Amino acid sequence: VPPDALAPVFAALADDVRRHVLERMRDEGTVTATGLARELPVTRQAISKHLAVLDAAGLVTRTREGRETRFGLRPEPLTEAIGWMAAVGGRWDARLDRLEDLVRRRSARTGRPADTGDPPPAPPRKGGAPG
Amino acid sequence: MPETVVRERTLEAEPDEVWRCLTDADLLEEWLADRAEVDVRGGGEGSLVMPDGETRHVVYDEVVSGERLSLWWWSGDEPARRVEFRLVAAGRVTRLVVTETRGAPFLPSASLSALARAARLVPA
Repeated sequence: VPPDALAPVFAALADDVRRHVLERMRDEGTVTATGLARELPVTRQAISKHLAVLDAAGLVTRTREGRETRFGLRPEPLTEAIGWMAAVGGRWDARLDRLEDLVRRRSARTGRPADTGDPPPAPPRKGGAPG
Repeated sequence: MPETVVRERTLEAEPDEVWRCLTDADLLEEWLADRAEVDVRGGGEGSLVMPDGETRHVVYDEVVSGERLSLWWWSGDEPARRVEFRLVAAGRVTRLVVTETRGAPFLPSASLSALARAARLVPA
């Protein structure tokens, strides 16, 4: 995945109207700009712009139907975005496990010095040394 | 927001001790990176060699001792991502909240000249 590939996906998702459009496509299969303009409090022109942003992020499919274009959901970039979040989150989980461990070790050492004295004497060896 | 990853952890130490673990290079090498060189102050720079061998460049942004530490980090040509640590004292333990954000505008509030150096816009 090129480093920048997800930026347009996240930008596309960072808008209420576009998220609504994605949900409509998920629920309806395909939608048209005219249909969306009827149900949303924005102009048809604004809907077209939002669809263009979604298209640039690779989140929609287009099919021509007579004079209208029908838009459908293309979920692959979302899967990628979720994958990124899972990978980054997983790395922090592992780092924080190590940090938690470090903090615990340090507090055991500095907080309770009486507990970290000399190790207990080794048990006497069976058999002993010859002589 | 989907572009932000948030993790929260309660650590069995007071904020000052947690702060040391976040800012001392030797301690960073115990949990975050294999090798750490850091200059922890607004606009200060650093580099971290991560366990997978990748080198991350760091520019510190907000540094509020014992409370908040934010930085930008990146490796190679990838866009910088913002990492923020917030420390909240809760009795004798500390709640640490880490967020990593991508796609945020790279606009640190701290020293812009250090930033420009880091971005190789001006000679060091």
